[in-house]
Amino acid sequence: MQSTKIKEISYESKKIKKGTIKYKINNFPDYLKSWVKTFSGALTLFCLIILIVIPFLSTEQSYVEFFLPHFTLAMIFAILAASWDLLTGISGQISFGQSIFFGIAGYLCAYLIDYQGFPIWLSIIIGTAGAVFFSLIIGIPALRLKGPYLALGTLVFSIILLKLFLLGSLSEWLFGSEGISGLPKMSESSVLTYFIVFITMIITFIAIIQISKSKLGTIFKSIRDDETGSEASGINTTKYKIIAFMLSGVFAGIAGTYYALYNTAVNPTGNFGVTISFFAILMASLGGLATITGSAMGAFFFIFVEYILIELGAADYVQLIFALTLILVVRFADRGILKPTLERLKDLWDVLLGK
Amino acid sequence: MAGEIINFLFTGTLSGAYISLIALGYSLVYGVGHIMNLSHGSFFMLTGYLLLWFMNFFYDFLWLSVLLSIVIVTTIGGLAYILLIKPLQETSVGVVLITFGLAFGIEQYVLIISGTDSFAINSYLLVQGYTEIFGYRMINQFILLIVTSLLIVSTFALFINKSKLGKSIRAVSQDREAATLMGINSNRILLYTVMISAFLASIAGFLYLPAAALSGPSMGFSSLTSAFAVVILGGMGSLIGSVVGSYIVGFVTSYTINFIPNGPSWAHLIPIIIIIMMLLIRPQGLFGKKELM
Amino acid sequence: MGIILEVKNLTKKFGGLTAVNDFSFEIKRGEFVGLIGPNGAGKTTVFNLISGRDKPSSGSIRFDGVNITGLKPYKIVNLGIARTFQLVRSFKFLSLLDNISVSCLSKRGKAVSKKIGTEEYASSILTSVGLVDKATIPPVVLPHGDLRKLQIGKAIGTNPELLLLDEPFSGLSHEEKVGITDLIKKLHADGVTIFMTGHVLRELMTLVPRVIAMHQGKFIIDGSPEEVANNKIVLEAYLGRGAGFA
Repeated sequence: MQSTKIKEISYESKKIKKGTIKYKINNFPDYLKSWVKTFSGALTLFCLIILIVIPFLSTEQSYVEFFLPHFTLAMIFAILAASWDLLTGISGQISFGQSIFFGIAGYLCAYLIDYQGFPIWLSIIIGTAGAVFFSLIIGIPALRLKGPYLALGTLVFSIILLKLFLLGSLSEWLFGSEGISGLPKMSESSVLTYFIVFITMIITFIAIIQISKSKLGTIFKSIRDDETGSEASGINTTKYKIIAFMLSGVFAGIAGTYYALYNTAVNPTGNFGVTISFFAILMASLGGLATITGSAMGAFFFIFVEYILIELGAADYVQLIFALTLILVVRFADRGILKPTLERLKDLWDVLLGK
Repeated sequence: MAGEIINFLFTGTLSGAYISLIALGYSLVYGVGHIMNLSHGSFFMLTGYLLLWFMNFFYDFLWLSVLLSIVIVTTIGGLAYILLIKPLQETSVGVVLITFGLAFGIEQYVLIISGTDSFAINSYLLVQGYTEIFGYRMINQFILLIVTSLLIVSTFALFINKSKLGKSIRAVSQDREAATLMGINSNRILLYTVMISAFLASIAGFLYLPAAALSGPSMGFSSLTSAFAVVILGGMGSLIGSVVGSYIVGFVTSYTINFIPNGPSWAHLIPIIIIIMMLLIRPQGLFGKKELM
Repeated sequence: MGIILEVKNLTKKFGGLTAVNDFSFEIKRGEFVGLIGPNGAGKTTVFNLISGRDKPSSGSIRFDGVNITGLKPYKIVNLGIARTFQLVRSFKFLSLLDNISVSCLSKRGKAVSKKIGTEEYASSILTSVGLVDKATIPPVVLPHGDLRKLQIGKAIGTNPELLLLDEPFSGLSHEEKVGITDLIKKLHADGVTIFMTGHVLRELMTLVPRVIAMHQGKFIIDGSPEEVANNKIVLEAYLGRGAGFA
């Protein structure tokens, strides 16, 4: 029945399409030139150049030992926030459980390094894989919950996991409230650490953005926009929701292992606390839900503001202020603050370029 | 052995009694307005801390402190609805995120003022001492809690079935548009519902915490965890389910502590075990309708 | 050509309410059948049961000989049944092209997309429903008639053998109705079996050669439009409801 239809359709469009990666690679120099001319291209390039240059701005010890690691931390959080944006912003699965992947990966990685003498990179990989595997175990009952139920469910799972590691005699088996300490750093040179995290962040963002633009991304968004409609279009929504969870788990897990190495220690409150999930949500929401790149903006904004608040002597109030920030952002600026600000700048840019 | 059995029965009933006040309000708000209020647990917790903070202020007039604490928490519930929840009602993501922000913010606020230490607020005990039965001591305040909780739940059942406001609430929960067409101000009903739920959580705090002590701002999310287990067990939106579920959770936890080897060390995992089992076997809960999921 | 849909003793109860009561019928491959009944008769519930959105309380549904009772919706779609909804739904934040692409990515849709490419398949469907010039626009700005066309397009993307259309004319202007009618006729001519609900009889009667009538969940009659329009029970069900009929 469909064969008549197919014959009517032209085969011309087998030509390589403009947006695909093949096209970009084939025509690399030209593509780059036209990309840089766009506002987002130029801005991204500008930010990337700044990020590359930052480690070399000073060789003073206070700068290298204190200031630079803050940027590294921002990038670790950017990866975490982007993992949440993929799950909630793109796939519509409201999750308060990023701390689950983050903590499990961090603990597993720490355990392997400290107690089993595994090399760092192997521990990172296994730690992340462990987090993904665990996400599968939780995901199967959890995905019977939809929307707000899933939100509460993931929150509750994360709190119980925290309690598991923190309280009761079971936690003794899991290193108790002190956790594991004495981990090595990712590298003795904080500049090298910075670049390792930087490259991971770039790869993460490229990967997530490409997923978002791909057919898989379209399916994710269809589940987000209308799950019943997606199911009625023949999509096995449960399978794709699990995939979304696992992908989110990969990146959150990587962030978790990096965080463990950044702090050279893991402990229940620091790695499994609700605060971790809160940070992911805050940063992604600040930057703009479903924008992915907004997560990076949100993360740097957060680290910057936190630094200022600490300098002003308000260290205790940091989380409270950010809680208020989240409330205000969700209430008044559901597209985030940073992306719309960028769009205003883009309009300015267009005006300046005389368009 | 007799002591353990009585302990099992008593602590089970006690847990069920105060959890049912919390879960009832939570399930009510969801059943009526499809609002998932993640800050509900913090109403319970904040009441305890307000009582603590006012204790030194009102030492001769503690009843004033109680009144003020309950009023403040109920008002916060109402304000949260008006300012935060109602504007975001179209998107379930928004409500959930903003109430999470509120819960987190209240937790941080309490953390700043009182830290993570435990505090006792037994000045607020309505009845002192304990009653002994078969050698087992039951704290009188807890007996009062159980009796009061059962009274409140029964009164609430009467209220929701017979009173005008109760009927309006049920109308809104069944079909908000139809209720509005019948002349009910659905918005105001939702406001009252949220305030009633905050009030119930606050009462639970007032009755339970003076005898149980404040164990830190994390009590907020902890009580939310128990409430979630209850509503999954009982069925979200089902008021009977919330009450029955609370007692089941209470008894299962109490049984674990008393009769299972090493029980106390993993009693805090009971909620999640119940949740996972229910999700795998019967996601709509004991009394829930399948459509709610 | 054989029986494509066989529904036997289908019953659905919601608490105390019996929405569908011992309902049975058969549809042959290639037919064009209407399902009528006043509002609340249970038509949408029947569709929900066939498409898997609800599970029947009792009874069975067989598609092309295969028992599909109680299967998950996406599995039923991938066996060859697609449906549209009474209340129009769309993927709000996706372009029209992407809206259609989702169906093209279903298992059945992929069988076609593999040969010609997903974007081409989706474009061709958009063209056939007359929306291709709005391919990059999200559904938010579309008029109601276009949204109904989009829904049909989304259903076509899964390459269905049986198409369930739930009140496809509801809320449309006369012109829009003509557009949809032509689209449905063309799909039927291409070999798709069409099962359509409506509660305004005039529209259906001129379109379909066979009508099944239901009222309060129960089967009344199955026959030609003339037979059904003159049936006493059908007339009683509609009298006083103000729905016009020829």
